[in-house]
Amino acid sequence: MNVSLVSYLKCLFFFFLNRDQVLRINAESENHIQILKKLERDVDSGVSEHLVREREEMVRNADVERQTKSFNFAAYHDLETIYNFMDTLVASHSNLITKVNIGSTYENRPMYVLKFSTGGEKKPAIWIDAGIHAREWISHATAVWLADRVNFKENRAPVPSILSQMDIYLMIVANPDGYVFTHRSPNFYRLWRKSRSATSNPKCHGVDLNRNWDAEFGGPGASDDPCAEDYRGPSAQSEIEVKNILDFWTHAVSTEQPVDIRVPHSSLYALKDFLKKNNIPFTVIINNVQEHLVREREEMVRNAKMESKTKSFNFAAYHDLETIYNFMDTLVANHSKLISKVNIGSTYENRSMYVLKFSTGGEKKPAIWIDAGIHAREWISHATAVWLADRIAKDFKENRAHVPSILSQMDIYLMIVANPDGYVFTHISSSPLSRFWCKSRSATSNPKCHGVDLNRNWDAEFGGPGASDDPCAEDYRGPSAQSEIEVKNIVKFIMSHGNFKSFMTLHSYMQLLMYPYGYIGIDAPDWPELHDVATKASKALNSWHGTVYKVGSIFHTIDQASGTSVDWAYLRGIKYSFAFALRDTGEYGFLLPADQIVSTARETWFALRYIMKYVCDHPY
Amino acid sequence: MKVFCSLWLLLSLVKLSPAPPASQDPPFACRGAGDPAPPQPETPEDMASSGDLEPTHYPARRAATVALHQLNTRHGSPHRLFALQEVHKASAEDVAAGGRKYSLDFSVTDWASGSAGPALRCSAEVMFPGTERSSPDVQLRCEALQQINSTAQDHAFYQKYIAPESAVSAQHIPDSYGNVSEEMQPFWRLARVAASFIMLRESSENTEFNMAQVASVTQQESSEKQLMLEFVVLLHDLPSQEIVQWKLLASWSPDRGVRVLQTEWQPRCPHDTKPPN
Repeated sequence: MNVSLVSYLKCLFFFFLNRDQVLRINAESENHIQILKKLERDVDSGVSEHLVREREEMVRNADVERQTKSFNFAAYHDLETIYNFMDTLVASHSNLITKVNIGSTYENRPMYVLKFSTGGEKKPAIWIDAGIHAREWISHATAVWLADRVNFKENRAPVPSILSQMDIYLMIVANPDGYVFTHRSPNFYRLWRKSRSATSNPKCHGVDLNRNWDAEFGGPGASDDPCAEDYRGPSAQSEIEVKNILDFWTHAVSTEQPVDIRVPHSSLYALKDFLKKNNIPFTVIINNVQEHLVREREEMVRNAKMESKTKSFNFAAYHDLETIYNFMDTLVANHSKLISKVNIGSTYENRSMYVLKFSTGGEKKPAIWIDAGIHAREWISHATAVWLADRIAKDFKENRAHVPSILSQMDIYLMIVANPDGYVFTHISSSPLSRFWCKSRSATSNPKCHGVDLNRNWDAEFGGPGASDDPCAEDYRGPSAQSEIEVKNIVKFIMSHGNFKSFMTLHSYMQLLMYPYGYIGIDAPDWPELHDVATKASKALNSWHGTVYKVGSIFHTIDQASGTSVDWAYLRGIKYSFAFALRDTGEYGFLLPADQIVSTARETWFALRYIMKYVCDHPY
Repeated sequence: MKVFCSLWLLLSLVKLSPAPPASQDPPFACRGAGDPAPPQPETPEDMASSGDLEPTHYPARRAATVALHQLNTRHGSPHRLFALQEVHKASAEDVAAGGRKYSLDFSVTDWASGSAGPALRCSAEVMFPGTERSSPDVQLRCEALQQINSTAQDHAFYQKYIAPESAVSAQHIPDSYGNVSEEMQPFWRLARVAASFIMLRESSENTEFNMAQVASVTQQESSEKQLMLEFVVLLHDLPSQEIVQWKLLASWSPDRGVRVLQTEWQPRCPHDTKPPN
């Protein structure tokens, strides 16, 4: 159900009554429509006096206009005078304004709302009320002036444009009983605030009508004492003034569209009788409104909290591991149909390794793998992946090409932090050099040195040139292929899935888009195609901000490197394997300023999206 | 790169002029016993043809980077710093005594003027001598660089910090999040110019140096009207991914440019969390 702000406001004004129902009424003829229109105007849940008749009694001649022109806005008026004013106003602006009787007060006075409308159905509406507290006379007086002001006769901006798109409902006196009471002598009645209902205390009357709504009713900020000025009442919506508002969810204008109306339980039988008598078919579409609305409200509050969490997530900043992991949970909660979080195992220091799976369903669809952060100090790669996760979700939700078509045929797996232990280590501030930590954090054969270069530990010509055997070296390959649990976890996941068609990894820096091989300088069998795809992807990237990437194999652009993830993937038959080295070319290097995160991520996305679409269009 | 850790070289303090002498390597200190790893075995592809090189591949880029270091040592200042934009053409040939000579045609931009600055066209010959421990030799020509041209900003910077009370001291430029304050930008560039002397001296065909961070800058007492700055810089070598720490003492004035007076390699007891002393 689409919960908009307006319907939420509606919920605020209406009561959640047990056993209220919503009926769907299907008008079948012009006559039905007329009956329903009258019913709509005269919102008193069932059969009652039609506004038309009322209005006919109110029609005046030219004197009417003179009467409103002679109304003294610079004075306080009693209820009767205000009610007369309303009738006069309606009569002289009958195209725009109607008076809606929405029910009676405790002391049986009618409650009127002025409806300003240029017609149309289901127009979004604005509600304004005054006088809910009887002694606040300036509010009624202001509302009277407002009613006169809000007419579009003189075409003064922005009223005509507002009214072309919205209706305005203005209730000048929301608490008629109380207002009347403030006009009685002795003088101290002037300070009456509440309604005038009887209470459990025979000495004390009235409920604070602005504590009686079903919004955390019973909480602090109101009183249980009937004699108190802020007495909340015996229960939420106990006061009839707050209660009897019957709303139309939609407005009937034709036989094509049904009318949905919420009917208070007390009026249910009368209305059903009325409809039956007039042979207007209806069905019960919500059997218990309160339950439904409570559920709806809970969902809406939940969504709003979630949305504000991801909306307020600062993509233009670097975050620590915990914050990134929280972000993942929020994203999954916000897009639970599309995204799930997969735990693929633990790190050396026992942290969870998570992959976000973007999927529209199906069994083991061909899949795309993207990882970031395998080298801990390359912070721009994690930050880019965070932004990408949000972007893919957003593009899917907003149906922006090419994400929906890609996801209709393939799944995307995105691992934002492939080396959590290393990433945590780079945040340790006590050591100035920790920011430049690259490897994992495993113990090695040298007690003074930790960690393995996770991008030399794969089973792809492991042991060859382009990596070191020295545990203290930054490109230490590890004691054996896949000795590192982080690599093992990913390998296990991808191999058991068995249907990956593309493998891409994000690094920094140097602005390069690379393909296999790293371990040797000869061209990979698919070199022409891979080079072409990479070239076009780098052009797509360049189109965003003019950033220039160079394209080539890992061996030729960086250096010979053995045991790399991209080689491993390619040698396992995952043809479209690429490695990105993101911004910059050395000015900041690993220490890329946060204000470049979003533009880096966005240009990277252009390239990734190109490649993903290509992979999608070239199944193998 | 592995040269740093060779067993049989001693630490010494070296006085540098714009023509760098042979390097004197520091002890390997915390590595423990054992020879350093042998140089990368070269596959036939490595012996890249004498002849034309692919400009986007690393051999050409590394040679151009060496030329760039030379350019910065000669013409870098607090408000001028050159970066490699693109290699247009490159070729290499074997020369006497196992050396290799690269011929390069490339463009550089000035980082200090941001993306607004024009690109300068340069050509260079970079000669890597056959002996491992020798520094490369660079012959360099760039258009419009005939005379050293100190900018007004350089002079203002000089006036501000040559004052006797000036005692600048700062750390981690940029910080972990990439921030560099406005005030520190000229010091950042000066550090890179000074570091270029080291990077130039230590380069070989198997290295590609960049300055990763200024760990600290401490102003010393001015001498002979020169700003005296002690830097600790972290250099990043792309092929090996190593971070190498050097302490150096440099002087600068608008007239004389940057001169590096002392350099000292700072061994990190590798990968432990105690800061080096």
